[in-house]
Amino acid sequence: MDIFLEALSTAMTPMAIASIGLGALIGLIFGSIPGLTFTVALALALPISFSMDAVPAIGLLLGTYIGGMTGGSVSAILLGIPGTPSAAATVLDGHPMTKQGNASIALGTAVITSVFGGIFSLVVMIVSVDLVSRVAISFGPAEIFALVLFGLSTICGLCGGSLIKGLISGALGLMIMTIGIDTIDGVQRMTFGSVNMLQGVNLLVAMIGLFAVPFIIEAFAVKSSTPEKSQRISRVKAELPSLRMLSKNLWLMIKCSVMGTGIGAIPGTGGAIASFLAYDHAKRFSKKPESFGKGNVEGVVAPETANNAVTGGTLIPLLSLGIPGDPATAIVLAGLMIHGITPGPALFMNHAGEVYSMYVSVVLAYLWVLGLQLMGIRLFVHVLKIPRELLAVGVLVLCAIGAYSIRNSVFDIYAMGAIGVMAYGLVSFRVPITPIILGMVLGPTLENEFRTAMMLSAGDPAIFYTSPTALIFFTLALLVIGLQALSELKARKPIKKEVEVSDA
Amino acid sequence: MTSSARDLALSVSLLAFAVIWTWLVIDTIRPGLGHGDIGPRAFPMVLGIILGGLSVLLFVRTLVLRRDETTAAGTGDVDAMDEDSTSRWGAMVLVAIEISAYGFLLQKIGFLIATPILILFVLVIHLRLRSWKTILGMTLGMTLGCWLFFEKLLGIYLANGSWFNIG
Amino acid sequence: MTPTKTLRRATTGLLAAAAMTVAGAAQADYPERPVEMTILFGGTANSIAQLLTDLMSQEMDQPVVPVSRTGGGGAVGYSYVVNTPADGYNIVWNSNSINTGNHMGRIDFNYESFAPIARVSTEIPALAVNAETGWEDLDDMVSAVQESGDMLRVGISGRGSFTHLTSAALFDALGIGDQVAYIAYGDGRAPVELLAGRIDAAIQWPGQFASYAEAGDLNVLAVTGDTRVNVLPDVATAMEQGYDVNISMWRGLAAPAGTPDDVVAALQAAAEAAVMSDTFQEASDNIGFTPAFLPSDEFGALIAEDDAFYGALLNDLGMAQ
Repeated sequence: MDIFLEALSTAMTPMAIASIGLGALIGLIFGSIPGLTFTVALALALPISFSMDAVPAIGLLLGTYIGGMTGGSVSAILLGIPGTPSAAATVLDGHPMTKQGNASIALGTAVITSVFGGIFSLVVMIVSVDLVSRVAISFGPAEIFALVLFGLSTICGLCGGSLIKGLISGALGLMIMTIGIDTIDGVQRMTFGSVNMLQGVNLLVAMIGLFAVPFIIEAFAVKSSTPEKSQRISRVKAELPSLRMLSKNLWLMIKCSVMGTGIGAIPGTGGAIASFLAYDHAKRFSKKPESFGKGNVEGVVAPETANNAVTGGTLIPLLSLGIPGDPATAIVLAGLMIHGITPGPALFMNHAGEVYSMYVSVVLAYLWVLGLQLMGIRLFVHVLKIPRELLAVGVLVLCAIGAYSIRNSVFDIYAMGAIGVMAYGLVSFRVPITPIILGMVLGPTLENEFRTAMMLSAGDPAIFYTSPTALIFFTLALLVIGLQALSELKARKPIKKEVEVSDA
Repeated sequence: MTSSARDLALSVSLLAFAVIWTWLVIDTIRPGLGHGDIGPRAFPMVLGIILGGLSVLLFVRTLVLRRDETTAAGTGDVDAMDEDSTSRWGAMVLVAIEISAYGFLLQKIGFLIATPILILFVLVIHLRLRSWKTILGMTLGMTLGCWLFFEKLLGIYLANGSWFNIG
Repeated sequence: MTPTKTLRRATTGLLAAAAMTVAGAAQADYPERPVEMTILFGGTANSIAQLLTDLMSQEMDQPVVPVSRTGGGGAVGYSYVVNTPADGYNIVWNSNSINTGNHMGRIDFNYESFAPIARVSTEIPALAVNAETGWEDLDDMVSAVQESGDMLRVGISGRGSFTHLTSAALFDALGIGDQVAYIAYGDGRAPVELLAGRIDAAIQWPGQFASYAEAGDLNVLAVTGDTRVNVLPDVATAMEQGYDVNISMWRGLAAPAGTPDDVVAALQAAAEAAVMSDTFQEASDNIGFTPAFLPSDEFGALIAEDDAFYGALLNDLGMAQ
């Protein structure tokens, strides 16, 4: 208890609170501007943290991480362009809500559920870090492969009109990610001897291309065909979600928090898989599954709760095992190490004080995010007043800056353009593009874990069906695919109009 | 184009892509060594074959059903597109050119000169805006705003030109 | 900021000023504009580079700007820098990857396309096993493996990665090279896998093992360099245990070949002052690397020597192109 009080006092100094706030603000800005991502924000905050004391430095990085994770939903909801891969699922219902004039409600819901998910996962983490990290260790390559396959099966629920087209889209996403150097064998794949192709397609660059470029093309196309009128995305209101609506979704929020924390705790998975699984779960168990994809608020609640619950979850392997779950937490890890805090089993013995101040910092960061975002919503919605084609010009420049700044490579701007044009072409052929991003996020993990598992077992496939954990996930994946195929077949029998109801 | 004709065109082009992809993969990537080594070739090859299979499936289904699908493209797309108009394809080609040209110019003449050129081109030639206030405001505002915010305030590295550079 | 830190900063500043006057005498006008340092990797490489640019900026009239150009195992960044003018305004934060990248066919030029400036740091890999094996040193492991006749499952980051090359050289020197099955993870997850008992041994950076070793979960058997490391002072080197292995990962600075000698000298002086600073020495313990300054000519000789070594090793592994 003494340690905790001491930690409380070190984490509550004005310097520490201010640096957490600064981090949250930087994260929010980068997360919410289309094209910019919070991985860039963290890379920016890292050198600033070098010259600070340990506690404010960690506060700055955690604030940036949490602010970025939450801010990703802003452009996802307002413009349909996710700020982080884990906000891609939020687009599905958040953006339709904006078109119906409910942008501020969607934004408010996203913030509040994010904070709920984040703090819930922190509590879970504090209480059970030992137990959860033990369970997380038991996830070897075979188990992670099974989990990722389960995550991939949610593609079925995202297909909209046609299961086949959704699967095609997912396969394309998986294929794009095999370009470049293969990390397992160190050989080049589909690079055609080009040094630029060696770096492969960056996930963030692809995400910018997939969502932002079609937005730009569409805005320009509509403007040129009706040059007189300026178009707006929707009406502007600044209304917050009601407590009644939130309390109605409390059970869903709790379930998604558990899901997010659990998935976050397993190294090598991360936010995107959690938010898609949560979205799929909410849709499957909803009373009105047909209204998903058309602005159902549950479709915002589920992914936003889950992707922020991941923040607490990823802290478990980060602190107890020293394993970063994604590029963003890898930068947080670097910040910890440079201040002499080496994560791992000995951390809780040697640096208990710092660990407790980190917990306090996370709570403070969420309070900052809540305050900043709720104030910001009034500001954010005014973006919708800007004529859409001018907004698109701004998005174009920002996306180029964003794509370039990830690796300082012009190749990434070309890649963004190429992928964006491909995405626009696919959309006009009625192929959904969300499965591409899911395939891209999960593809490398899926392949690497499968190959590593086979190396471990020296070629014996029994490694997959002798592990109970893996079997559970395989069964779940089969169940999801089977149910979807069944409903697809059923929907074919009655003609035309009912089709729309059953598999939208 | 009717919906089924469009799906036929899509499945044929995807099949062609899948075949070329698979052939290139088999031709250029070495196979696994066996004994637990799956090798770098297996995944891209299987994915190519799966894509091919799915496009055949789409082709067959479209031929058999031959009916218009009333459902929208589904989730995650931009505003539902009702008709195929030439302006959409025109905009697509123009945006592709604009992005590539912007990337090229960034590399050669740096952010501070490339950006106003791009914005002027988009506003005046592509969007045919005639309000000089908007044009000037957007061009200078975006360029200087981004430069001050990113390069000066945050210290994020914006592209420098290799031919010449200011700022 | 604490008073001691302020004091330390002031001292560093004074030293920097002194170093600058010396360098300034030899140097008339370089540098006139910011120097761009290309970083090839994230993680530790990035952390050290950020710190180094910060410190070098204090030594020079113009700032040194870190610019991250990652991807392709360093190939992207090397290709960028090699094509810039040889005027000292574009330098690269290099490593052994210049040797391996060339021999594995990722870049079509070799170390001779660069003028070495200075070695800055080294990182020495360590070999760890699960504590339940009861192995305390290399001899324990070798005799156990030879007696059982089983394959030893060794976790590596990826084929051709530094952990793979070090493992290959070490197990060959131990004489059990043909009893090793490499499990490639594609990332640095090996310590956890070791803990869970899915693999038997792994080579990673000492910093990743330190916490586990302290908690008694893992036994670190050896480090592969010619000196012990600060984070694990009790762990003997492989050489001390009688096996002839000396591999460490160096990092340093290089500029495109043809960069004028006085420019190289100015950069070398700035790098030396930065490496000798207290801030850098202190950070080295935390991050887990060893400051190891070497001047331009000795650094160049080291790279050439390493190039032959890695070329031969990759050839043996069948990975040379």
